[in-house]
Amino acid sequence: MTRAPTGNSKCDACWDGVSDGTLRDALLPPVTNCIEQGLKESELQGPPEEVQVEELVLTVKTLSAYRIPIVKIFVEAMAGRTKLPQHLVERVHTAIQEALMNAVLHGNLKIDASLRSSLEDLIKMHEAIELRLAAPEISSTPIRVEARWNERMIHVLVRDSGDGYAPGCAPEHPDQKLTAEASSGRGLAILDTMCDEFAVVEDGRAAKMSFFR
Amino acid sequence: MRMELDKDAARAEISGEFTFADHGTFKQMMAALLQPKSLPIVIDISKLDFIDSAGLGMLLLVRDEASKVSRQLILKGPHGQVKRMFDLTKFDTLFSIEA
Repeated sequence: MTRAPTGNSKCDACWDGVSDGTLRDALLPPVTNCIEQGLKESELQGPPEEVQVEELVLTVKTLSAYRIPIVKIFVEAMAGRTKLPQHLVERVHTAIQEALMNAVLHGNLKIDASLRSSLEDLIKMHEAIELRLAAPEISSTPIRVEARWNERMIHVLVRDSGDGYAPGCAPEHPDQKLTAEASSGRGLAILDTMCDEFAVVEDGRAAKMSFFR
Repeated sequence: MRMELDKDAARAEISGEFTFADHGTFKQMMAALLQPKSLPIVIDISKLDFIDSAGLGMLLLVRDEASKVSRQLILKGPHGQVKRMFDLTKFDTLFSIEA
């Protein structure tokens, strides 16, 4: 079963975790809150607020966030509801993708951020990712993407289940990070550039992004 | 990301999305592209629709590995979001890019 309205205001639909196609189906309107089968709402701290603006919330396992292009599908579902112009869809997609990568790799999988500076490091990182994804207690930890919007703004929160880190609101020298020759370290600078407002919140467990419409 | 390889010509075409989840495919591509010893490496990205910072980082790793064996890396046909990410990160100063 890929789409199962429950009547419960906190979980309008369940996703079976199988494929891009079943996720697209699960996010079809009028669904506003979709959770992957096997996860509970309470598994992530800070459940979605009861808000009056329009919203779309997706909670998935780490394994699914790694194997399936959930950001692309989530942004398509958002775009269908919000009628966003293409240039804004692209910025939102790029920003959420960076936030999701941080949530998966450094939040839930606890992969060392420095492990991308050489081919050897990248191979080690890939091995560490596969090893951790093979452990059900790690691969099933949740990640939540929450989008809320009104006529003026779009707010997106990407929340992981990791240990967090000392947050800074934004990289200190984003331009230098963006154009450096190093093979890693650009993610936060790209995120900061794509958003109108960006902050790391909840003790480093969530990235909060805002965009003017 | 989907990938088509022509090992003998040291050429790859990648399409779809190139993101942090593509490390495995990337490793295969690197191994194949570095096999011929003298040809420039060509990666056709004209059908690539989306790239994130990890994808950009992996392209830089191809460049670094190619440079170690004195081979050129050419990226062909960036467009849309990929082109805009290249502009943002000034990739044109780091790579040979062909339209």
